[in-house]
Amino acid sequence: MKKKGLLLTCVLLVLSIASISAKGDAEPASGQAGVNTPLVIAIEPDYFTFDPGYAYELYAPMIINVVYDNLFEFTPEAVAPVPQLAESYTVSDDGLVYTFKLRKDAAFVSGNSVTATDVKFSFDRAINLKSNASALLDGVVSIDVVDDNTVSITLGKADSAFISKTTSTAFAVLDSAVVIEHGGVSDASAAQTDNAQNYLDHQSAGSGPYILKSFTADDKLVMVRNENYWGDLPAFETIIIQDMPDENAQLLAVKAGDIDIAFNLSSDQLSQFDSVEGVQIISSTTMTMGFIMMHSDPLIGLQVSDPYVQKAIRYAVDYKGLQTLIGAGTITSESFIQVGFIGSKDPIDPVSQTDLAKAKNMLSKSAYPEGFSIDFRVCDLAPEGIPLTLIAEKIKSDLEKINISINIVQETWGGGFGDAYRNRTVGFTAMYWGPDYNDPNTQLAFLPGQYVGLRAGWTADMNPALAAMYDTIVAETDINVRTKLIEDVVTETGKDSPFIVYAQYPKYIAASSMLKGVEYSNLYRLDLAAISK
Amino acid sequence: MSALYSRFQYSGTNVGTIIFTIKRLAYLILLLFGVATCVFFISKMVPGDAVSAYLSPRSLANPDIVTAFKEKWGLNDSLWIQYLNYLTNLVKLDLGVSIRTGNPVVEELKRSYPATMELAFFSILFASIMGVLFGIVSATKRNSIVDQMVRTISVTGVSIPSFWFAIIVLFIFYSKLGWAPGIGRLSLRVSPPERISGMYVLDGLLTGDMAAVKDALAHLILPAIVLGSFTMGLITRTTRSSLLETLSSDYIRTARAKGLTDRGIMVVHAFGNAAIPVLTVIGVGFGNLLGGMVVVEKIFAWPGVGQFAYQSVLGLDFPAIIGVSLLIALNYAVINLIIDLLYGVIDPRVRVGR
Repeated sequence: MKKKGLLLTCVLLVLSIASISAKGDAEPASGQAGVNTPLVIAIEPDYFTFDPGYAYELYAPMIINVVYDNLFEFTPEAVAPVPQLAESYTVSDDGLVYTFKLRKDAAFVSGNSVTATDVKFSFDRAINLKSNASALLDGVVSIDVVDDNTVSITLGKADSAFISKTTSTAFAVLDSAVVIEHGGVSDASAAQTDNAQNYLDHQSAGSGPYILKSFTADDKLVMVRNENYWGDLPAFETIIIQDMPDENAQLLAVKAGDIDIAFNLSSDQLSQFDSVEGVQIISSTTMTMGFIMMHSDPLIGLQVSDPYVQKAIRYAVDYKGLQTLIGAGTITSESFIQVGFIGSKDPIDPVSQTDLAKAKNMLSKSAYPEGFSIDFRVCDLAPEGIPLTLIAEKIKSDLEKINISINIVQETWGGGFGDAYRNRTVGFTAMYWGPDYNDPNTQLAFLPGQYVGLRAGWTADMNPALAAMYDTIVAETDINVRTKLIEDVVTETGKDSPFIVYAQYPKYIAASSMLKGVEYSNLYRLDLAAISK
Repeated sequence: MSALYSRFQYSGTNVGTIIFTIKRLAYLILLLFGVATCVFFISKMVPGDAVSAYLSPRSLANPDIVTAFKEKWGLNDSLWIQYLNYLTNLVKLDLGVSIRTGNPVVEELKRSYPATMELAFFSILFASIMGVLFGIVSATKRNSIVDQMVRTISVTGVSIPSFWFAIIVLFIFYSKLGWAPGIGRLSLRVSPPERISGMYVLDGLLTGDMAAVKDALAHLILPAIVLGSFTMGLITRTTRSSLLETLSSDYIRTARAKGLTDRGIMVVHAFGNAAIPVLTVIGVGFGNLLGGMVVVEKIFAWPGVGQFAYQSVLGLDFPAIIGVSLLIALNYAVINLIIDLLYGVIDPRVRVGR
């Protein structure tokens, strides 16, 4: 009897648990009905602020893009920026003064019209907050209100990418009256006195198609449609962005229909959708680029500072193998100007690019014809979910074929590697890079004498002609001439530089088959306003 | 009955217990000061700094931005000035502002702590009920097939990695069988109850929002089982060994000789005496749950302290890391205090010893 009593207690406990959980899932999943039901997106978020003056993280643009408008925007079908709040613009002959005419029908959520004063306030604030976002406005000297609907922006130096830069979140236009009311400051004291971030993290001061309704860190974010939006209304009335840091949990949830879009899937998971109905897989190539860096200073780069060793490594890397490792859809660009930017070339043929005979020949011409051993420092970061340590292991096995023995030294980004990398003291490593804005000019930071180039010890005096290309390209406003100049950079750096690009990473998104317009965007990650059922 | 009655009556007015409690509270303050000091200096000694962690490459190339960042977060002051400011603020219960979120750390902990406590409570409840039940069954059926099964379950509970177990239970009970809801604290269609404590089940009960209570309970089941399985294993093993030792005592044999039933012996004599080690394990287990939250909260997207700590560590958000450390230390200390006081309730010898 006693045994039965205990067993009965256990059974009742288990049954009661099962009954509660079964009841908890009895109603239909939220993501399966019509457009009036929320669009539910699961992501592993990196954002913590939606204040355009501070936001810099990878996924923040997904939100800010639909909560705020900019002077210009990128649309999925356009290769160049198209006007959003700007109706038209002119540029002075010297390329220094941009004058924008604003459209008159745009209004903020508060009902206030979008005016030149708002543009000036927003840009001044973004500059004076001296945050990560401020760096994108480097070069803006002044913003002047000409009249209610006209604003002029003066640059210190001509910048051929300026219009592209205005599409980024740092250039979002805020409702100045609302932001000031909540502690916003745009003058030179903003870095110390502005108190609007908390408000902007939870509410909207924009004129975009969605209104930020609530945000709870590590939980979820809710946006509702701006019914008074001046442009075309988006399809979904509500969007919920659910934090789901684990990719396996995302996979299970999208298969169960509890979410509409799983944003962080790995290539290993794709095969699990083979027999799943009602889910589409969107595979895209991103602008996230992985590269091997070989420091050119012999004191830091040691053996890999030898130009012949750099060439040998370039031929020895198994690009096809790395593409397979990273996953379907991976491509490899010839240089650090990613495929897709103006002036870029087609992806390289990953098979013919690897040539062990040439690699050995190059090594024989170096100061180390018999090969050598060297430390390869690698940090704990994982671009698009692929750990750099995995890449390091592959490179190690590739270079062993030409007698270069790599000792992989694992470090943490926050625990010192990041500082060493930025202080230019890492000799040999694999790293990644994503563009700051949607223009190839952002990639020119890799040129000799520029801040990424200098991390590899690539000083301007090592290649003055190439170094001079930076100023020439940045100042060149003729798109055709600029394209040609960038092509020249690709040609020259594709064969000889301290950087070897090993891959342009893919991105996989799983979405309900009912959804249309789910496309990866390099600038916004997802254009939420373009998604419909 | 009379023994139990006198035990509670006696414990109610024990002066020794009051002095003991005051002493422990004083130790608690010293402990928190020690933790705060250690974590502060360790965080300053580790390689890597917040400037590199938070500023982009483009921003680091701009000295104005670097200077403004250091000024904003007080990084230009000397280490001792930073420490003094930190202690002064700590006395005022101001843990500073999270560099990552821009919100006061106290507010972040207030937001995330109830979610963690709710999960920890249900985990320890699950672990305690199942662990004690299994332990009793195992001890009373020593070396039987039931005992073997229970011991296998307890070893599995202790040794199974929680990240793997979490995925497996999600796959089976959520994805395949559909018995359990998915991740998060509530279904998307259910609104949280009006906030009183931040714990959805409690708040739902207090406000009469039974839909929220039911949904919150359903969402608690899988993470509570995953989180509590390790502690359940420990409790099972401790209960079993403690009971076996007690059941072989002379006074139990005497009780049997007097004709008491097995149930009477177990309830009145054996379990009470075997409970002290079990209580210790429950206390330690509860503290460990808070430390082990990170993985479970990540997989179940549980917006608790574990997630906050994980993101803060990744981002070298030192004010947040120190705040979480203090909170966990405080938890351990308070739980130990409660356990010590419970010893006195259970065992008169402990009270007399004080």
